[in-house]
Amino acid sequence: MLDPDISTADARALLSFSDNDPSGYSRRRFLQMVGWGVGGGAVLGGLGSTVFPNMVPGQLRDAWAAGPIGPNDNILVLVGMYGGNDGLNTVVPFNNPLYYQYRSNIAIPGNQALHLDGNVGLHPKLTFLKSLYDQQEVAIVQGVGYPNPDLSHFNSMATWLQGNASTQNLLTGWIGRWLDGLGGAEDLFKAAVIGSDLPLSFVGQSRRGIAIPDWGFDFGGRTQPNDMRLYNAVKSLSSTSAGRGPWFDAFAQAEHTQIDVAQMVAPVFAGDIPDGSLVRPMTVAARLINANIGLRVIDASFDNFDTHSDEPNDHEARMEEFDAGLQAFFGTLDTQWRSRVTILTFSEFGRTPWSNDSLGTDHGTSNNHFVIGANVKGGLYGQQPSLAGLDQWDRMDFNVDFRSLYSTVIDGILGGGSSTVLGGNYPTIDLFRPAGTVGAPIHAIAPSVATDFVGMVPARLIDTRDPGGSPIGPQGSITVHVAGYQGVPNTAVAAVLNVTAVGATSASYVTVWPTGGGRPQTSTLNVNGNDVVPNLVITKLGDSGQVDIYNNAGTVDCVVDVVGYFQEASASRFTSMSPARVLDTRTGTGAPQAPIGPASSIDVQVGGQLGVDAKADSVVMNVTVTDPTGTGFITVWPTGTTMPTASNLNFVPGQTVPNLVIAKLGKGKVSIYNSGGASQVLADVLGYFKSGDGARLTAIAPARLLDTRTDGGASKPVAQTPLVLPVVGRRGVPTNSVTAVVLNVTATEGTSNGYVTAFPSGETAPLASNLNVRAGDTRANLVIAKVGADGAVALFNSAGTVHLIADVVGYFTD
Amino acid sequence: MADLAQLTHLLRRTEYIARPSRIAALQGGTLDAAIDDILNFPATPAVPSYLQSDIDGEGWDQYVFATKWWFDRMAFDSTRPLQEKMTMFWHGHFTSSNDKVNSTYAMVKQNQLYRVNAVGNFQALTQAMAIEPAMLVYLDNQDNTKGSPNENFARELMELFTLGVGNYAESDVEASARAWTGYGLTPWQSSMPTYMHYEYHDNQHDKTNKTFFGKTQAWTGPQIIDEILTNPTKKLVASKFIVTKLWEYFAHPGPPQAVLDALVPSFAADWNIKTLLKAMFLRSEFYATAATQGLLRSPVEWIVAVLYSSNMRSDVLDPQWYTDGMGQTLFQPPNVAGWKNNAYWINSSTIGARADFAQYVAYRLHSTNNYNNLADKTLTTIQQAIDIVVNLFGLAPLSSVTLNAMTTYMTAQRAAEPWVSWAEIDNLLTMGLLAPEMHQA
Repeated sequence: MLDPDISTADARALLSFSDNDPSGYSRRRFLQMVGWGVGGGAVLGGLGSTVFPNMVPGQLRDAWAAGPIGPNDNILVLVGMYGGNDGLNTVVPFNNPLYYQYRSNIAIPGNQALHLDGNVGLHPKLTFLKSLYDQQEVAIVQGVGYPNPDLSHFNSMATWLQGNASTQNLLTGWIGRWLDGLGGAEDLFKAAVIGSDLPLSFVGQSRRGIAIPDWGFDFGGRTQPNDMRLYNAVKSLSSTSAGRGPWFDAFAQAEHTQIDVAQMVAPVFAGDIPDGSLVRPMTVAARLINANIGLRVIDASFDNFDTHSDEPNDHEARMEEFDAGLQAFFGTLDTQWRSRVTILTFSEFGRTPWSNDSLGTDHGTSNNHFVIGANVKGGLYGQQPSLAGLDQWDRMDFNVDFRSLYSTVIDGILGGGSSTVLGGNYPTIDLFRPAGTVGAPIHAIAPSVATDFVGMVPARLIDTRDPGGSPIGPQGSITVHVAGYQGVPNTAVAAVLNVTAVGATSASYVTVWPTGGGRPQTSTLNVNGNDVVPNLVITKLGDSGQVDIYNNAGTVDCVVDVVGYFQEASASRFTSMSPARVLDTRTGTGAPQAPIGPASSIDVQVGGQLGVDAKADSVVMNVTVTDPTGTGFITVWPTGTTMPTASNLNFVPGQTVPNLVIAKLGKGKVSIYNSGGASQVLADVLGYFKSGDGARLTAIAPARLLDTRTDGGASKPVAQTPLVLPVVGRRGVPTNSVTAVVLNVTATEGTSNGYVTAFPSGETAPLASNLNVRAGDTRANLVIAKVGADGAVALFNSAGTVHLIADVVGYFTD
Repeated sequence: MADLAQLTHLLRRTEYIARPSRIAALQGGTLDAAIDDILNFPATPAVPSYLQSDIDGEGWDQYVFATKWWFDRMAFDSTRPLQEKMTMFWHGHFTSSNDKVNSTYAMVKQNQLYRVNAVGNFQALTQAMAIEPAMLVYLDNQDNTKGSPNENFARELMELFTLGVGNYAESDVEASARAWTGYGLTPWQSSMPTYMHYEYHDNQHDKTNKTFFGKTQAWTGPQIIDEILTNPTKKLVASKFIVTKLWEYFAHPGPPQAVLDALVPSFAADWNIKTLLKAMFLRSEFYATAATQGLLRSPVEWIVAVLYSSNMRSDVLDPQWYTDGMGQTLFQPPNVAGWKNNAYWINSSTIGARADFAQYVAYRLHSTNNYNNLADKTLTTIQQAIDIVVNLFGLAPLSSVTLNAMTTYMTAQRAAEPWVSWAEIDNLLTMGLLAPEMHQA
């Protein structure tokens, strides 16, 4: 057999310029340049570039600018991974059993991946990248691809390099068209590729980037009088057309350019440059930026990613070089540029989710890509395509069009114009920090600790509809202060919030997580668009006692009320109960037999009732509104205090809407206010907090425990057989002493109206509900679920089938 | 009598340079006779014995040796350099790279296959290249087995070697991949002098039915190639694909429709490459301005012209150290699609590498030859010095732009350094090597 250590195919796609197009210039431009006529000012290809008004043969090149970039200009560094990088072994879904099933011979073990959250981790060699991620300077965009992918290296790379909405075989690339659109005098030094070929991406209709060899220039770079005489003579070969055809003149023009470029970049190559297929070009790129000769875009790419065989060795070497290249780059870059440089990776395609028997993977489709820089909001973006149900040679779907990456950097740091450059509108990803701000300092989230509860009169922390506020944009997030605000002490380590999403412009999900911890792949609530959706949230607090709130799509306003907090010092502890109905206005249980009228309230005695300890400070209840006659909201607060500006659940006429409520008691009672119409209200007590004995909460960063859409290798909706969900020993939940877990349970794709109940595994399902299911809808609710003797929670669905998703946010221990 | 301008163009395109000896030999006959002479190769010599097996620990030396050997064949040693130019064509078409193959022996063996079959039968050549060890390694067919198909070769066979993308379905690729299972290499044994030998493994071949181009049968690999090249519809597609590529290699990008109409059906009828080339070289379009001005010399073609005109072999000039920077390294095409042309070769980086080599050649020229007269104004006028350079590199007829640039340079140089200056010699020779006349094919 062959030596297994041979290098992989040199798969670099040398898509340069049109064979039919001298120098990659448009013929029209070229003819004009060399004085052959063609009317000036013609617009080519609808891409908006006016053919250079200022091209005067023989004079122009020397006059081209080369100078410092504007004080607010940013710089894009493109890192191509030619050959097709294996995104699944770069950002490893170590929590997905299908990954290990499909790739048994090449999978990265979960304990070797550099964990970013409970689900994904980086390749073990990407330690420097991981440190940047921990500084929140790395955005990982998952599931990047495009419709109707072609599995050929060349067509796929052409698609990426062209970066246009058109499927036609364009003769220009996206950076080239960006250059076209800059206007003003042409600048030779706006965009450069480190290497010996100029990829299609850098060729525009009227302008193009330059290629700088990674070893620098010999010819053109010296300054002795004899050399200068030669250079001037060679430059004069392009003083006018020789009448020998366009290629003849194009060659002369290219010689002129070469000398200009060599003279300009000569100082950059002084001194040693470390070797390495990416280390060297990235070092050169950083030096070019430091030299500030006007470059806004630099391409430093490397290859050998076509890992059809022997992937564990070959891909590991690529990852090691990638990491070393990043380290060399940031080690060379002057700190003044630190917040103005963004790195974007690209590759022609990802690879097959299944490995082959040659210890490799074949040409695939969607992929993970990195956006790196101090001006980047670190975290996970997009969505990893499902691996469920894929056969060998099947390819993954995509979730983010690669042209959205381009529009994001064009509009985010290259001054805008993405729709012109890309020939269409591709939504940008909100992954850049506001101008002038940089990433948070290095830090680690505080460890999780056991805590006691303090109930509060609800208080509003933020309403983004308030003057000066603005909705959360697509894939955007806000940071909300909790500790130190509205009576929550600085010692609080977790909080109970009621988060309400208002005015969503599209279907989306919202995630709440501790600030600084990296956004987890979990969700807190779901909106369909234009609905008002609340959910109770128990969350650990992150940096400076804050939480972040993320919105996935469209825009949405957010209202956040705090109803209590957890601290290490002694306070109240939790006792869970079998559900007990303390209020039903339809039957007169706990209150008069009448709906609560508009803008009025009732008081309900809970302390001492139905097993609730008379000394309880706070109670946990599922409150449900049914048959409301108007649109409105419900507020629950301790009786005897002023009604706060806060809400617990929202409704429209005819709806049945539940929400979990944790309410402080006032003299054993809660007050319940209904803002609009007449509403029947029900309340089931699930447990209570009181001083002294009981369970303590340990809040943790959210992590996904269950997704029946993809877990276990297939889509397995839940019918009427309870689903047993093991919880202890998983996702940060310890194996010992756990009595209950706090889950955010989401029901989606339900086929019938019904409800979902969580109960201890091994026991009988009680007649109670945690979550109402409406056919075709997606709803989430917080659940405090007792854990069965087997360490699991059972989830029962009352009708039809439904998909269930469960994220764990904390656990109780005695 | 062949027209001198036509003959010169024909020789530049088929034999790299219009060598005076060849013009003298062919000028008296007809163009038709000249083409026959150009296409009439002598028996192909065996590859040097040093390259007939892989030698442990000498892989790099063998690789450098092979590169120089091939450059010298193109520039000096072949009496019919079209054979080398066609070998280069097949090297860029049925690509393999030593980067992956990692065996100079296997690369040279494949190279010799292309040389021997340079103007032979396209169908036979395609069958032979498919089971050539370098190809079996380069496109992974050695790993393509019944239990674990690898589609790399099957895909490129149609996409890049015969039909072009869009002329087959994804299911055809999968069927072809299965048909090609089992065509691999002899398992390595330590006693073998070289380890890359083609071997068919019957137990790894998928003998079940596959549906290829709509026909269901137990396809074998060679049957797939035969089907592509005999299927009445597909063979015309393949013929157009190859005719276009050859026209763009010898004449100019974008073959005229009349050329395709005339050549595609006849090539598809017999796959005779020699007949096809002769028909191409007889076309009037081959001598039109679009053709004579239509191509730049690739780095290899320019180097061959430099070696020949400077009369220094590759052992002296070591071109192999410069080719990577120019963008064209022998035995290492950049990818399975091979090299392109024209604009592909010109950017600041690749031009810089050509200029570096030009300066080195100029230095070697003055240090191994006496070019004092170039810079001694008592011996030569500026015009005479320029004429020496023009004749040396075959730049005639010189464009007025180049003449002006050289004249201006010489005037300035002689004013600044009115003595016999090595700088002047080097620079004028460099200008000759960098003149666009030297780079137009």
